[in-house]
Amino acid sequence: MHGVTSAPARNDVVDAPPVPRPPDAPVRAARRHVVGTLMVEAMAIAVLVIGSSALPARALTTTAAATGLSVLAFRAALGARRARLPGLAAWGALGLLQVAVLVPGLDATPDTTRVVMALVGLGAIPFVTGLVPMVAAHGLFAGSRDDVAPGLLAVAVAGGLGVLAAIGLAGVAGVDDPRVSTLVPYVAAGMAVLVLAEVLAHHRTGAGHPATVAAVAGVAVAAQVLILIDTQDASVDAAVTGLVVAGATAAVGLLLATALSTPRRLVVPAEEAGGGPRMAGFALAVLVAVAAAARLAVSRPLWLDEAATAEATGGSLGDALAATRTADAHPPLIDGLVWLTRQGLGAGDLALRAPSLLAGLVLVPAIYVTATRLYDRRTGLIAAVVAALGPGLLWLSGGAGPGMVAALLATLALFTMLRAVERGRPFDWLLFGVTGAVLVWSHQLAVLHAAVLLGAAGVVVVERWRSRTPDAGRALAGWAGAALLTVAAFGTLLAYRDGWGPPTVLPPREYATSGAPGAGRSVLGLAGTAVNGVLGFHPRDVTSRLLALWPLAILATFALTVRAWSRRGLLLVVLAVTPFAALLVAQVAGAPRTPLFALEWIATALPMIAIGLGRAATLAGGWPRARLIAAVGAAVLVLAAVDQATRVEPVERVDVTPVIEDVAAEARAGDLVVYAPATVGDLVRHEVGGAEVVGLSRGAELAAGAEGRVFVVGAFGYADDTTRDRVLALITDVSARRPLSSEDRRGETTLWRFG
Amino acid sequence: MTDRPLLDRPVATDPRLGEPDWQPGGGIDWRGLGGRLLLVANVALAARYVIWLLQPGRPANLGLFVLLVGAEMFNLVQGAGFWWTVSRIRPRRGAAPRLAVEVPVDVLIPTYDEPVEIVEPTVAAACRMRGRDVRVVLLDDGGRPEMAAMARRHGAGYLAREGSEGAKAGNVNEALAHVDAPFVAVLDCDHVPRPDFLEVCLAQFDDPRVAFVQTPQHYANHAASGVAAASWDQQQLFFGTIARGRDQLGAMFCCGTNVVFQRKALESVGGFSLDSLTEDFEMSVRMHEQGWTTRYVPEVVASGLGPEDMSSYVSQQLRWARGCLATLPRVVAARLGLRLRLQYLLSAAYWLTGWTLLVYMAFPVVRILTGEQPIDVSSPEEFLLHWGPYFIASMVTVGLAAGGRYRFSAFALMSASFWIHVVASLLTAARRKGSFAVTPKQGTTGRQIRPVLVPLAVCAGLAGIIVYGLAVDRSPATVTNASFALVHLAVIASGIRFALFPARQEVER
Repeated sequence: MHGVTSAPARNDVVDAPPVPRPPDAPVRAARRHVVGTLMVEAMAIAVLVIGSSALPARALTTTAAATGLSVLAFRAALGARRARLPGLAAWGALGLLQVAVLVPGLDATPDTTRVVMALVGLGAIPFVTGLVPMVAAHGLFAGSRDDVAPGLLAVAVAGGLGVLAAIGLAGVAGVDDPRVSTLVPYVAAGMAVLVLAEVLAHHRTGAGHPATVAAVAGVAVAAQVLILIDTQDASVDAAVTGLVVAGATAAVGLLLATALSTPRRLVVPAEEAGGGPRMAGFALAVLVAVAAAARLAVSRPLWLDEAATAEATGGSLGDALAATRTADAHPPLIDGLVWLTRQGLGAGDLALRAPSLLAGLVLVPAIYVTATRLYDRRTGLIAAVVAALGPGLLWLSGGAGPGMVAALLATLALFTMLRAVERGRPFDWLLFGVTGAVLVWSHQLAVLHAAVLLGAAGVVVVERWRSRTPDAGRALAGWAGAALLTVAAFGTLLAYRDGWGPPTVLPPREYATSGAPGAGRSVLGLAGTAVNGVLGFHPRDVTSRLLALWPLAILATFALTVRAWSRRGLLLVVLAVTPFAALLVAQVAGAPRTPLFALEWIATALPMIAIGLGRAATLAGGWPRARLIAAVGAAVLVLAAVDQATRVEPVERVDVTPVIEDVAAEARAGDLVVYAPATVGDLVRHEVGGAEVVGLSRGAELAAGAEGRVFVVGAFGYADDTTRDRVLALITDVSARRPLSSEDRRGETTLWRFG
Repeated sequence: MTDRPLLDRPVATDPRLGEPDWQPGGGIDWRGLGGRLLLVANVALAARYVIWLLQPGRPANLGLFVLLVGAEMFNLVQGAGFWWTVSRIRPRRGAAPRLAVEVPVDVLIPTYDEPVEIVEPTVAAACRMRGRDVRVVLLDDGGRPEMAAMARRHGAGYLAREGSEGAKAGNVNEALAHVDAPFVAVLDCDHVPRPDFLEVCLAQFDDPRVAFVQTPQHYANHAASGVAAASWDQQQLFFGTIARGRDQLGAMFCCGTNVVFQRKALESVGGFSLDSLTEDFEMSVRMHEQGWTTRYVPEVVASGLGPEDMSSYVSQQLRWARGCLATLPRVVAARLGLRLRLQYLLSAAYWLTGWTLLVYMAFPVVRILTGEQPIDVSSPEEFLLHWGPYFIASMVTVGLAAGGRYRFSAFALMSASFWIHVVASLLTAARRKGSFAVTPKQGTTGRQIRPVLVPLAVCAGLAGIIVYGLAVDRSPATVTNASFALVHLAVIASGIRFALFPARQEVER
């Protein structure tokens, strides 16, 4: 193959093989500390969870107290061995934060004791899972600043999975008390936050400041004690609240301590900036704020596909995952996340869209660090502008679909791959593997993105192996581990879903607009989707004119095909093209994805396109010129976003929301709402509270004898002739028995009201 | 005159004196599987496009359709010729062989009005070339005393003839009557040879039928300006890729400098042609006709100066275009084998490329003004699906062949020079005799409007068409044609920006 040139650069993935450094004594000690903690916590979980239901009442208090004290003692002892008195104080305090939830159960009825035992035992699961990645956190134990963010990320992901596990196992605990299922999410969340504090505590101690940990943990303990004392009785609720607050206090306090101890320069000196941006940190903060404002400023009514997610996640986590196991095209990560946010934020639209919203915000700094590592800060900043203002990304982060989360995970997977290849440490490979594994569970086509990254990393590893570089063996082992994790995750997914999942999703809102993309089996259709991804959705006349600009791609072809390509550039292009190619292949092979070329399908490509646009702007010349291009581009994106927000509405023909909003405003308890076809059922049920909502079949049975009013919603834009006939038959039948108050037609949706 | 020997001065004062920053080579291995597959893909995609284009019912306007087909066929032939040529390239393996120069060699350095500071490094370096019997002669058509003094200073000979008939060709021919070595090297007065120049070239005369050995023209001043950089990229594509392929086909032609001849070969064709603007090209045809073979050594052994401003570039391109086009009838009539004839036709016909660009630029203008278009397609996708892959494959092939060194600026400069091809064709067809104009070796600073008047007018015309078209109608079809016009406008504007916004880097001499 053509020897693609690669200009020497600090981030070149081939030219800078890292030199492995053997762990020194303090790092070994820290690793023993973590392993010891893992073992102690695991034993405590077993004792508490099993004992909570299996032990007789007489033994409960003793067991709870003994377990709590044991955990406390072991944690303090491990801390003392690590860092003498400050370590003892630090880890004693952190241990106390955990076991304090047991306190209300020590002098209470056996039922309460069982509850607190189950809560602490289950709640420790995310603490344990969060600790697992830390075993490989060499740099973290050595106080390396660069490892803080990836460490927190890895622990957060692992802890998050532990939270889900804890919630899922709440029924297994065998304690038949509603307080367990109610409070486990909060205890688990509190423990997950506490394990973040644990990461930072190890980092601070490794950096030589165990006293800082002791001080912060002491403040957290004080806050926890105050909450416990302040309540009328030391109730379980108060203890759980104390855990959450104290854990957050410890985590935030240690985070601040870490940030302040080695502050990043907010303004890069001119001689180091190399002509690039000198205040990227400020700019990034502004971009995140702008991204948040843009996403919160625009809201749209819930759509059919989102209502299906709302319906699926309204029950238990198990129910949510079961509902989407084989019915939804995409893997269930988004459903788990939506379920989680609904526990904390309720059942409103914000709760449904919170994961996408947060992912959209986090994407801004994530794309900055990824693009900076791939190229330079100029590219990172411009890519972050696209991520913050891009109408396509705005659209995705305003919905309850998996696209935005998948886009974020795709970006993080690329970042962790680059780190693993460049630094070569076990922890970095582990991080890459974990990110890839989670990515695979987020989106049906995300496995292709993960495969490309593994392939690219594999090429570098093989080259090092052939060149017999000192770290070749380690790199190969790390790559194999990451590959194993990703493949295992994919295999598990296939087994869980009995295959790759169906090829269809419910039509998203943009497909109900006149400017809907997708023009058949065509490159232009895919190009249209790419345009939507960058410039968003627009009325038909704007979209058709945008596509008519296709000859301008000739200029891009000139510029891109004649120049030398770096491996980084090739990788970026392949990652961007992969989902498009997959859609085209699926279409040609007769297994298309519907809706045709929807934005959701190419979500993993969008951050790559944003980075590519950033890179293209920087290739135009120096930073002043790139900045100008970025400013013009940002203006175009803002214009496009405003157009999307103000002029993209579902065509009246198929827009059911006005009718459903009327029903939601009028229907009361005792009323009956009948909907047809089944497609709109989730949306009607989500929006209409109080009244009984049923489908057409049951409606035919109940309508005549309903106590209150009867509303019949016929969304004929989605119905076939048979359904239409059945609805009309129902109307005729009900009209014979009840007075028809009104018949409102909005497009092809009709609302009948019966008195 | 400075105290320090000329060739020991710091490199920064004269870029020709340093190590060359480029050597021919790199790029894809066309004999490997990847290269072969790419070439096959090019052929297949081109055939697919042509078959689609020539289907019945395709023409929408017959006249425009004929123009389109003509332009596409021309470019297809040029493309096929390119693929054919590069497919013969063998990977470069190390430095070229050297041979101790035991035979006499005459080194001729023609000059006309170039200043001493340009010519002196060449003469000094020529006098230091390794060889047992190397005789350097400065051929001064300007008859300047300072040149004679400079030649004496370095121990070189000096010849000044009466008059300047035949320009450089006449100058060299006249000198041949005064020298007698069996090998003759010709160096332009700005091309500074390396000490091993003759060792490299003479090592190639292992076959008695070798008429001359050509080496690359390296523009050491390519960083001096945008024009220099873009024209150098064009030279890189030729000397780095095309010339290597032509060498394998035995079809390399003389480029007028950095070349060593067998004197017998020169005598057999009567020396350089006096009535051609590209006397070297025309002479190569005659040599091949006589059964001589030619060689090309892909190693930079001399560094010279390329055009630094648009005026110099236009002058150079116009001379090359007129000279090569004027040789077309000669090539058609020459007694050459098919392989050689096709190679020469490809090279000479390259200078008609500007006509195809003119045709392509005209289509969106005609469509916007009259509504007429060359082909009838059911949708833009249908055209894209057939033309797009062929176009992308062609661009990728050029990019890979050039090893990533043929930048967009080179393509833009070539496109902006389309009018030179048109003018040269018309002048050649009208049998207007041209005069040999020496390419200036020192660029001028400042804006140059005159050399880019035509492309500037074209840009203005295209801009006006775009504005008019969108003002009258903003349907997708009009937007598409306006986009085509914008593409042409952008490319040409990129090509002429060097003249309008010069960013000259001063090179101290």
